[in-house]
Amino acid sequence: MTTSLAITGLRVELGRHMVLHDIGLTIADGERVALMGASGSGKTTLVRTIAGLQLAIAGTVALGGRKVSEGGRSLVAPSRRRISLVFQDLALWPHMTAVQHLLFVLGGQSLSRRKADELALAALDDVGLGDRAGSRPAELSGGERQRLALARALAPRPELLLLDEPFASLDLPLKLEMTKLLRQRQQAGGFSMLHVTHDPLDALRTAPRVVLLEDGAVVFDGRTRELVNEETPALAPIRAALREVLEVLTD
Amino acid sequence: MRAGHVLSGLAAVLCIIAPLVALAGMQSSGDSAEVTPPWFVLTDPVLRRLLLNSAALAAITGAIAGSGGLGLGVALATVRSSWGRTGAVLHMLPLCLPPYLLALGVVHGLARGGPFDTILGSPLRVVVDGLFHGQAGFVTIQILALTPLVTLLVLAAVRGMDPTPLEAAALARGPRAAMVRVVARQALPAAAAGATLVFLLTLGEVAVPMLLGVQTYAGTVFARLADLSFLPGEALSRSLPMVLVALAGAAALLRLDRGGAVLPSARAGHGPAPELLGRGSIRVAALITAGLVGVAPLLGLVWMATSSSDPLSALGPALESVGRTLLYVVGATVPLVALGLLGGHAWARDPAKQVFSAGAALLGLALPGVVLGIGLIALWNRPVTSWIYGAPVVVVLGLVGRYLYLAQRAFKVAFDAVPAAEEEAALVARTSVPARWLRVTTPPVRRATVAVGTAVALLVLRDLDTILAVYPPGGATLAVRILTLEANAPPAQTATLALLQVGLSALLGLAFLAAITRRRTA
Amino acid sequence: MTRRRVVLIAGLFAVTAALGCARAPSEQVVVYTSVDQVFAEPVLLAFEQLSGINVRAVYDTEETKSTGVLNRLLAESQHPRADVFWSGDPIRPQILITRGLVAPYEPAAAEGIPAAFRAMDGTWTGFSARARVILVNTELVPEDERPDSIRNYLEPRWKDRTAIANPAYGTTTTHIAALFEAWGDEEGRAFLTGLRENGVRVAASNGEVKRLVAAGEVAWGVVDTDDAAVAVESGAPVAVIFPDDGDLGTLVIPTVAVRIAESPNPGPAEALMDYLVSAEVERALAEAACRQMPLRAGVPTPQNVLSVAEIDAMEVDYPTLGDAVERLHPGFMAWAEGTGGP
Repeated sequence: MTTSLAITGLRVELGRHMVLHDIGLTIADGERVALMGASGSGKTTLVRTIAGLQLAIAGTVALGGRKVSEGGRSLVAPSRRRISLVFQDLALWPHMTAVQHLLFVLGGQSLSRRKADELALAALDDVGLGDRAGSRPAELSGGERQRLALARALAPRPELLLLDEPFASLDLPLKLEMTKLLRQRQQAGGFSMLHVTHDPLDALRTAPRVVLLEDGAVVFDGRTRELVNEETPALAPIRAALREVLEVLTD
Repeated sequence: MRAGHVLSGLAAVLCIIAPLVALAGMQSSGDSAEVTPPWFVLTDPVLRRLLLNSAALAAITGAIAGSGGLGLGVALATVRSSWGRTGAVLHMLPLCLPPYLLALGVVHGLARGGPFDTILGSPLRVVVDGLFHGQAGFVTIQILALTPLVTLLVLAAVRGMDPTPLEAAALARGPRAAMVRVVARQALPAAAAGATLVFLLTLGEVAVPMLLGVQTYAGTVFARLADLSFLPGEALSRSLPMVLVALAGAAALLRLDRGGAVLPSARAGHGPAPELLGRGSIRVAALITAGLVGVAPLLGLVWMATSSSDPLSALGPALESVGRTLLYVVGATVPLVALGLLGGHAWARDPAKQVFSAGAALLGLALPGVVLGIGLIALWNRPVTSWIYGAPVVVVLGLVGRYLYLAQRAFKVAFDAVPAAEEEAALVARTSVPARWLRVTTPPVRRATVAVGTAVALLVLRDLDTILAVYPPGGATLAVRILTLEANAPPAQTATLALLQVGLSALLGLAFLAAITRRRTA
Repeated sequence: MTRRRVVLIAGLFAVTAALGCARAPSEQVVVYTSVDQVFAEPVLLAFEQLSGINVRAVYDTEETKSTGVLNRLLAESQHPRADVFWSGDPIRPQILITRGLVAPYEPAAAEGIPAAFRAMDGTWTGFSARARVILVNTELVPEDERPDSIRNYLEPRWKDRTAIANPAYGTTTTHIAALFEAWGDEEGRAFLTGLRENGVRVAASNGEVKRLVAAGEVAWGVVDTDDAAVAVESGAPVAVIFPDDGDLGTLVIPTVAVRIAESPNPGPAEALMDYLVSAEVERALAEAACRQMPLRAGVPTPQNVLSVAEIDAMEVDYPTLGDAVERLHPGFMAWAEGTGGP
């Protein structure tokens, strides 16, 4: 099995504070992984470092077998890493319409105008925004903006999709809808996925494998279902939450 | 109605409307008290052509300064190079001088045997000479003098941007596309505000066109209040078509504030990380080039200053005027920033109710300074208001009237980018008004406050038109002193004082630039 | 920290306001002057040192860049702030006199000034004059080809090679009005038309004409003697010619002092006027870089400075000339703007 993401010995400092300590992580092609941890554990920093938005001070990041950063140097620019990132606050462009978002991200590929239009509209259709192509973010509902952010991330056909708590502020029906959509797109596209979440149920829904960070270090890396039984102290609150749900359901 | 609407309206009435009404009531000199109606400009082909030509020159200047300032502001906000920053500081220096002094520096610099002759050689000098004469020269000088205004406003806007949309764009398409399609686009309202100010200041400029032999419409207004003709009614009447042109231009550029250019975001902060957007060698080169071009007129002044053996003798007698200059800078900048903050906030939150005070404030900037100056005399030179007229207070009133629009418009753009929900949350939490202003409303526009304060301070520091008309006897500023000495003082002394003016402004500008580009740790 | 900043800003406000409201010292005189500051300031400083009276001055600028102190005086006429108007020419005070804004005062020190240069009723007193001269670039114009008359502006050989300051402002207004008075309106109008047709460059001011001649951008132009003196002193390749010698004569423009009516400091005003019209000041201005020409006979002057008695001065009645300027000025303005003429 080829490797989509390989991280070794990664250390990241923000200001004078060491946020990530000797992180090691591997994700295979097509694999889905949830990244969990309490606030301040370093989840977002890890994702931003993989994307190239943050520089590490030590360690290696390789994507698709190719080193993209090593020892504090960026070897490949963020826009060339063949990844996409769905930001926590979505980071939509307020002056562009939905279709312009897609056209912009497709603009880096050598496509004819007609082909680009075709792909852009198809990507919007895939997320159910086909009839909102001409709307700006301010004119979309919260859920529609989520879908647009996802469509924008998927349009360039990334090899690795990073999601930084994109569903954190959604209500349950919308969250379920987006999770289902994400799973469908992932199955269709075959890309790897690293989904940052603090919600164990989100992790259960989206990824069979979970990596748990605590104070900038990996304290658990295994099957999501094992979270319930794992004795690692950091998992105690998560286990408690999961057991509570199970008890309610089985009562 | 918000307090900002009321206070900025009162300021506009006190500092602009009331003086103009008083001016209209003044007696003209001699028998020629008959006033030509404002629509005369439509029927007189010469005046009509002059007005249209003046508006076109101002529009061209605004467009070029706006585009150049947008590019330079984005470049300055997104590079870390010390060379680039040095270039930016040099680029800002022309803003420190009255434009006519820049023109003087160019004229002397281009003279035979001058520094440009030495640097460029005679054939190139002749080409450059052509660029600095007539209408081309007027536009060039104004662009040099006023583009830094746009750069400052764009810099503040970019540094205050939410970085994540920019990161998303850089991730998707690389730094160049992110810069053009997202950063520059988001900074467009700030650039449009700057371009409006450049347009208005150029429309009302009198000294530079006269020096370069260019006829402008503002010159004909000025002539009705200058020297032997004292025709205040005529001057006011002639001003009205110019004001209409100014209003049209400002309204057109105001449209660029809308169109979804900026979506308020909770994460508005410290702008894009320079490392994300690459080393930016083209941006650095642009800043250095702008710096060299900006400092070129000053070369002429330096050459003038060193052309005789006693340039420094002018410094001693000028110290008092330096002190007075700083007094006016403080005295005018503080109320202008405060009124701009209040008025700009009210404008952003409730535009319809700001129409009167914004329109009145625009008059103060669009009209030649002498019109407002004579109006101030008409209003305040009375026994009961002696304590205002004979004191620096009257100068402060004039400066507030002159630059109120600038302050309000710049803050309006800044507040457009801040979510109203943040203030609403504070309102619902029943916090006091001062607490809300200090802890919620103003912190997001900290950089804009610094930028507006810098721009206003620099404009006040080099103001002539307003201060000349009303300064208390014996109370000339450094800029006024340079102007009144320039006629027949040794050129070296004039140039030395001009360079002193530049030095003062540069210190002020450097301090504020440092404040505005300081990155907060996350 | 925030509270400290608020207190600091409020404190700055208070200081500024206090300075704004500060009362002026009791012994002072306020003078508005259209004489170039570089020449006027030393005279006023000398008076300050001699008399102990604080002088607060408002200076004028090269005509076209400002509103002019004259208009400030007119604007303040309801409640005068100035005590003395020291004018660089005799015309602008006439406008104040016509409007009743001047209080007559005959300085005792005015004895010795010829009658043609002062009013018998004491409304104005002239002293230390300039003249309207031709400044010619010696590198461009050989000595035997140099102009000697104001009419040379219209000669075809000088087409596009000369300059004149804008007749809507300053001493040029006075000069052109004097020509209208001497030649009649018709010939005066023909002269103005001829200036345009012969490509005479209209500069913003006399200083600009001086610069153009010195730099060789034009061959010659008419300026005031103080501008010419500065050009000569600076080492520029220029020569000075007193035009129309033996014909129309050279226009002499005395500086003039008038006392403003209902001014706030009448006593110090009279003291200043006594000083300004003295022989001592005439000598000082002759020795200064402006090289102004004493009106009195017998005032010692540097070698290259003539007194008025030594030149062929144009015969002028200054009050009448003042009326002519007021009558013709709107036409001069229209001519300058290209919308008409006198």
